[in-house]
Amino acid sequence: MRKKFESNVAQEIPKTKLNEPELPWKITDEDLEQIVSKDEGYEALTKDTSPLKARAIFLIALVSAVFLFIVNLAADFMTANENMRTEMIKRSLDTNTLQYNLQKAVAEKAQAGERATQLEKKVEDLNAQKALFTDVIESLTKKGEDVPSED
Amino acid sequence: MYIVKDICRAIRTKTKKATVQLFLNYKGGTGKTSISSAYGYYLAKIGKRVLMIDLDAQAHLTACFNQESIRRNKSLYGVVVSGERLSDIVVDTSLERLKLVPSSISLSALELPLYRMPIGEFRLRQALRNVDKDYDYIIIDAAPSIGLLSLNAILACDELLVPLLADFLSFHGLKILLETLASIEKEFQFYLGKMHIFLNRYNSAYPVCRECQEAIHKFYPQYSLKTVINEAYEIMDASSMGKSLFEVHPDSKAAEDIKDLVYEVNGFK
Repeated sequence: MRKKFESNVAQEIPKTKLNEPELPWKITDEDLEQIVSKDEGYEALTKDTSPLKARAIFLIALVSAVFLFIVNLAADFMTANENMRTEMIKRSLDTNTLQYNLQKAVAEKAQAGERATQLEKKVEDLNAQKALFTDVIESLTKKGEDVPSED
Repeated sequence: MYIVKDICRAIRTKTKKATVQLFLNYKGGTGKTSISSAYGYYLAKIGKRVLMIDLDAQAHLTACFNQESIRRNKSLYGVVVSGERLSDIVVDTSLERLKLVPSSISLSALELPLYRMPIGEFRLRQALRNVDKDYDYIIIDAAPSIGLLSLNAILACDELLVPLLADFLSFHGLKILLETLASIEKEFQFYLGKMHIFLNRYNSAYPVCRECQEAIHKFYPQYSLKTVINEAYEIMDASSMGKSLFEVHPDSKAAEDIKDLVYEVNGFK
């Protein structure tokens, strides 16, 4: 009989304030009151008011959220548009600069070509002059050699 | 001078919070209702303001005070679920200082809405705050079941009284109860105020009763009471008449045992 009682003793028994100092509650009376009043407030809101009125806050929030989203989208679009326009202007400017440089290079090339032609002509002229002077000098040299034989 | 003292005592009485005592045992038939009804009655008789709460849907405590057949519009169901005032459902008894919160079959449907409510474990504790300044003692008779309503009672009480039959099966049931209470303490991070384990229907002629008593004192010495409630027909007799033991058999041994219990639990001299 004794063994039966001994083998049925609780493995864990409550500590109680008798043996332990009082533990603070995880949840205080003030917390309980707050939770209850919030719950009652929500219940009153859903029970006493019409469904549309009860959801007014949610509707307003939803409409505001959608409106803000659209405005944000439009703002993003306009910003992207503006950035693209600025980019295009910049590219156009670069293109114009390149074109100008190209034209300038072409003009310089033409100028250089003309100069080369002029120089060639001058060289021809000088060569012709040289040939002439050579003939003159040869003829004069030949004349000088003929004159001493008459004595 | 005496008038000043009376006024001071009245003010102290009005502002002092009631001691909430719960009679609990998950095993049925241990005498919770019979003893709690006599216990509460005696406390009121010696001048304390007592509120008894019947938390059992079977409404046996309500029957002990002859209130079970009265139909009521409001009940504890409305108090716990809808937040109605507890003071609106308090009824008088034959003793002026003893009030009762009767039970009804509607309590059997209370568990389900409690589960769906926020802080469903604390509803009774919340409800008692409305009346705890109006009484010296609030005695709760809980149902013999492990459920959310019992948990409400445990979390609302300051002291736990555990009546135990003096036999092996009840001792085994006590093991389950204590382990459950220990896990509740851990879960809710609070320590029960006091716990008192006492034997009911004790018969010193039966060896098993003596063994059970020895086992209680040996293994749970910090909680076991010296007082035992001896086996007596007077308690059953009184409850069957819808009256208190102290009305029907005031001079019986059972009445003496209840008085000893009241004095030992509350430290009266």
